[in-house]
Amino acid sequence: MFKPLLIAALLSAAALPAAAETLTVTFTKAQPKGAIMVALYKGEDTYNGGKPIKAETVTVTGDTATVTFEVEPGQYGIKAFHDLNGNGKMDFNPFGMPTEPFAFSNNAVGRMGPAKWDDAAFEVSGNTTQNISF
Amino acid sequence: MTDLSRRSFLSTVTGAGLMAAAPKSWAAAAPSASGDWRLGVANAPAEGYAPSALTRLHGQMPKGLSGTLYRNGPGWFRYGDDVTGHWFDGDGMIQKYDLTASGVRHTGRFVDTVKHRVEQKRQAIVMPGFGTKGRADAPVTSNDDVNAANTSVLRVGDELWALWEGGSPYRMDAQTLLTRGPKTFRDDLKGMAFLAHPKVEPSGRIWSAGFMGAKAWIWQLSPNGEMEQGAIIDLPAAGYAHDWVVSEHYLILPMQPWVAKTRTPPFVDSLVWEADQPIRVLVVDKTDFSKRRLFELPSATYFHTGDAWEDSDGTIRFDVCLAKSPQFGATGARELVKGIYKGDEHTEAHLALITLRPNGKAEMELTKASAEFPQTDHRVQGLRHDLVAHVGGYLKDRPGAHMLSTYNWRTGKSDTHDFGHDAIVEEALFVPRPATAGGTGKEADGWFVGTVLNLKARATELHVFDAGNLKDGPVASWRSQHATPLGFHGTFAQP
Repeated sequence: MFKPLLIAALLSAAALPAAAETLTVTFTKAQPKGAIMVALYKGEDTYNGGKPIKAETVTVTGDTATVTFEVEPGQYGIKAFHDLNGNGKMDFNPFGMPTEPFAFSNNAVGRMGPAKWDDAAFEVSGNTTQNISF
Repeated sequence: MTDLSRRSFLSTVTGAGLMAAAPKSWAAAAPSASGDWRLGVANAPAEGYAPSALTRLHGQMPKGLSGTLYRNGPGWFRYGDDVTGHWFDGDGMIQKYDLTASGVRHTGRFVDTVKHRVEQKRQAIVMPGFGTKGRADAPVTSNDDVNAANTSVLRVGDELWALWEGGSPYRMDAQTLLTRGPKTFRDDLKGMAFLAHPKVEPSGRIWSAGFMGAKAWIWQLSPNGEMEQGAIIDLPAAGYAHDWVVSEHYLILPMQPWVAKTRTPPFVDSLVWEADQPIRVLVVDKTDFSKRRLFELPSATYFHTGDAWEDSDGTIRFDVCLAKSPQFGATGARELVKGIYKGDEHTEAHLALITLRPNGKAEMELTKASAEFPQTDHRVQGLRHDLVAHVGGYLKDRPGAHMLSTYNWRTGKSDTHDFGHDAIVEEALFVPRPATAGGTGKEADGWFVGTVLNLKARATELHVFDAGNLKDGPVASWRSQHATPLGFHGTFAQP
């Protein structure tokens, strides 16, 4: 008795524009100043060097900050940094090491570079929340 | 007895404690005839050493000698059989010895680094380091996340800076040894490398450097540790530099032919020994970093320099401990933490004097004195000195030096005390006799104060020597309640 319902669901998913889901990203343990720059990537290829599907700037006044995105269901990854001095860019020391906090979805950590897609990728299906700690 | 002191006490006095808790990976290593040297690379108590008085062995505290000896070194190496990849990657621990007329008191505390916190929480070796690969999920966002803060100390105002060489100094309270966190000199310089061998001019100005590939960052700090200026300079090679020298007018960077080829941890595996290449010595004018000269010396490797000075004709000289190959750093010090020691004469360093002539020629004068941890009178940093103190004398069956010596460049003579096969001799520091105690201000008018790990007594000792007479042995000695892990470098703060 489930089969017809499943087929109907699949057909509707294929036939209709994808429903927009709400992705809520909450940043915690942030210093209460500056802004967090958030880049949202859809799929591995864009995460690994393409353009983000959406980008937002969130002013930080407390130790948490939240941003929401309306997106299609799918696999996403987030790269974020905290622009503490508000100069609009991620700063590096003279040896090229970041001097401002950065983070990735799933709180994935990189090794000598950004976190890998496999660690940072998450599924949006229905309303989804990501908690990212600085 | 508090829980803290009881646990420290138990870990010390249970004679079988060390071996009972020894990891399986140590089983194959046989103790040497001169005692179990692995005591020097055993974990210290995680909670540190509670304050305790040392037991006087002989002699009295010399009149005028008082102050605090701070020493830093790796103090944590393993979680069960999960062993750090290199002696240089053990977590930094500060030993503090307070010397007064009534004797010596000791306390010790780990530097509360990110690395130490993460690994203690997970009870595992996690972070990459000098010779440790680290785990794939190591939470590394900056150099200071892997900073072991385990190499030396610098006293700045009311703070003690625990120094590494690939990241920031770690600020500690000089009295309580509580960690305050990494020192950030300026927001845009966060996490920059800072050598474990800063040089403090007689004026109090502090010079340090940091290295990344074929670039160096020069730190010029005020006596209170604030930024005066800094700049990037290009190096003649990406040679590994653990130490450097600073004379009255020049910053001197000897770049040895142990060259970083990649940036994949562990760091030591990125270094290639190019035995046919020279040491390229870059000399930079302190007042104008763009004024640079380059000298070349025969191939050799070093960890430590003594000090530099300039002759009136502009000749620059400095003392350095040179070895034929970097095998100890590349492999020997990795094996130590596994309880393995293979003596190799090519890794033994000897004291040498380097001369850089105004005509561009460079000379290397090698002495027969086996030498490491060279120390000079810091009051005349960058100025002419005759005496350099050093440890020396190496054995086939165990690591570490068993002698403390001074070498006099003017007379070419050594003055040596041999502690014997049961002792591993650590760095000794010159402490000048204060004017209030009749001090003349002349070189060698004072004492050498240093520590020794007595393998037979299974305890660390503190010895005081008349700086002008080592051969007659220490004028006073004390024995600690603990055998503290072997350390690297220290500083002595006089009142």
